[in-house]
Amino acid sequence: MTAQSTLVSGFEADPPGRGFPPASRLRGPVAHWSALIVLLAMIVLLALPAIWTTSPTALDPSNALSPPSLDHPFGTDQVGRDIAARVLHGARLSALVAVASTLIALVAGGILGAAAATGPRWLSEIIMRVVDVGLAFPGILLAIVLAAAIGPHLSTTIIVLGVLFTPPMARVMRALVFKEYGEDYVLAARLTGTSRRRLVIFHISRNIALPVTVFITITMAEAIVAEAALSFIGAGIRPPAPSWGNIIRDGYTMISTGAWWISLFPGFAVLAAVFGLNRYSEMIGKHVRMR
Amino acid sequence: MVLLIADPELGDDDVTERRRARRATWPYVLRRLAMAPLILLGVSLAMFIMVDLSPNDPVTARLGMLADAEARRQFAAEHGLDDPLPLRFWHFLVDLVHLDLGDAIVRSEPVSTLIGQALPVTVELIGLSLLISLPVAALLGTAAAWKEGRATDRVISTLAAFAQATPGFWAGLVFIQVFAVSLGVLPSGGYVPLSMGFTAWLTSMIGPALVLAMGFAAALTRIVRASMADELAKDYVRTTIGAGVSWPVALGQSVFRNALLAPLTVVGIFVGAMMSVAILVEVVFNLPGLGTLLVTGINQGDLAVVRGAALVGATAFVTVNLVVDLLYLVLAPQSAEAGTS
Repeated sequence: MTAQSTLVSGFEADPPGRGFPPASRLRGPVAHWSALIVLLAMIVLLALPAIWTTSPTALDPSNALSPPSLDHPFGTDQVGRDIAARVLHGARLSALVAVASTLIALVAGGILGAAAATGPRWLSEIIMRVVDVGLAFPGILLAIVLAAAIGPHLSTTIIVLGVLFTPPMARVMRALVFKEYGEDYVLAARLTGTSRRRLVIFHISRNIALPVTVFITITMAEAIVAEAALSFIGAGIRPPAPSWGNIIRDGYTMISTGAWWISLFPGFAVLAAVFGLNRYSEMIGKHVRMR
Repeated sequence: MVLLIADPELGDDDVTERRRARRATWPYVLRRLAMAPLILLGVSLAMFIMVDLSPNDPVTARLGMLADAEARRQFAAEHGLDDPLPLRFWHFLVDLVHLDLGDAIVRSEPVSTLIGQALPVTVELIGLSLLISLPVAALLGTAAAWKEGRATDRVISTLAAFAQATPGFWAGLVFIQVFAVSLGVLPSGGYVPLSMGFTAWLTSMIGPALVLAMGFAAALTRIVRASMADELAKDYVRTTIGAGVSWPVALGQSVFRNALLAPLTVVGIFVGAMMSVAILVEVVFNLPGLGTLLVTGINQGDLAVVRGAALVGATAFVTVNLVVDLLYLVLAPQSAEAGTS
């Protein structure tokens, strides 16, 4: 994945130019675009629910199923809730699910992958065969079944998606750590008596940060789609909490009434978030390859 | 990675290299074939434990909340519910070998019967969308690589990136909104079996198949484009054209074969993504396939159905990946070394 430089600088554990680059070194379109995307996401997540003060759960039956207007730019649903407010608050839920489930996968997958890459052969075999079983479930099937077994809830969704993303994360981590293990700086550090855990946590982690970031970004995009999908089939976040998936579900139940606006806007929100995260990961990926 | 097999300029050394690589593939093939059943055993165990740990109580589900303690005990004893977990898993596996997945609680039919009815619908759906997406992706990907960096490429690449980011089930909703609710040219859902006539079947399937094909075609287009662009830039292509071979012949004889190998490896992975989108698309279009069976099972708390449908899905996925990997080995034997880790 990474274009490794052959430069090894003496006994320094971290040869220069191979870790996560400091902000000053991220220039050009990568820096601009990522800054813009992060900024926009921040504004939507933090500021807009405060500016758009309409409650996402307040019922207004007299205004039910009204098409987009100045009062309700995205229209209202079958019980008169403001879709714009629901979509904006849904962004927070989506972000929470995406970040939390990816974090679970990162920690669990990181530990499993590092253990498989650096541990004894029997441990590596056991971990990777369990990972193979996890990867044998197509897409979100595992999450659907797990969610059904535990019962739909916000915390269930986060845990279930964390479990779902752990096997691929473990596989990527193992490959990256394994590759770093062949580098001279690792050998140097090991010869000077650095423990395996310390080596992984303090040295290797810095050098694989960039490719891992690429994978994290893709995982977050997947988490957003998976949350929407789970909530859409009723195995994710339950209403009245506004999640993009269950707003689309509301639109689905109302589809024959011609109320197109209910599902259209949360769908665009998912599209925009996934598109942004995908492009972001592509840009970092290009940056990784160029080095 | 250098793909030697269809390279027009093969030297003697390369041929020897290929023979050696072909010999080295056998351990890999055997390993792969031996692993598949083991993985499926692991999948069955995972499914079994998941259903076992869930708060759903099969006794309550069958006898109702008001059953007395004596009846409960008897039911549990009859169905071996009090046996230790390994023994119950063993019974589950024995039943599985006999294609017995237990009985559905709500519809009180064997789960295998329900799956037998649902599976053809899902296979038809995925088959039809593969039929649509593969040629589209090959064509658009090649066109974009041909015009790399120019307007055609940019339009195709941007469209593909958008299509890839579009959630399939939502696209299905928009499709129904436009073609069924607004224009009224297609049904809003439902399934007509092929035996009722091809046109009627196609009318019921074309919407879901197109929606499912969209995401898959988009992802594949981008990979074909990258792979094609790499291949077109290689020296042998220029040599071939310089030697007077026409473009269609050069493309057909070697470029296509080499450039489509890389996309082949990801088809297996994409089929997994496709299956999960298919689950949701079936629900949206009300197609009585495996996905609908699964989701209905979840909404009714019928975990025997959920377990059966999920097992069939996982088995299909593992099988497809195995076939794709082996197919790739046949087409590019020297990749075996890369795959053994």
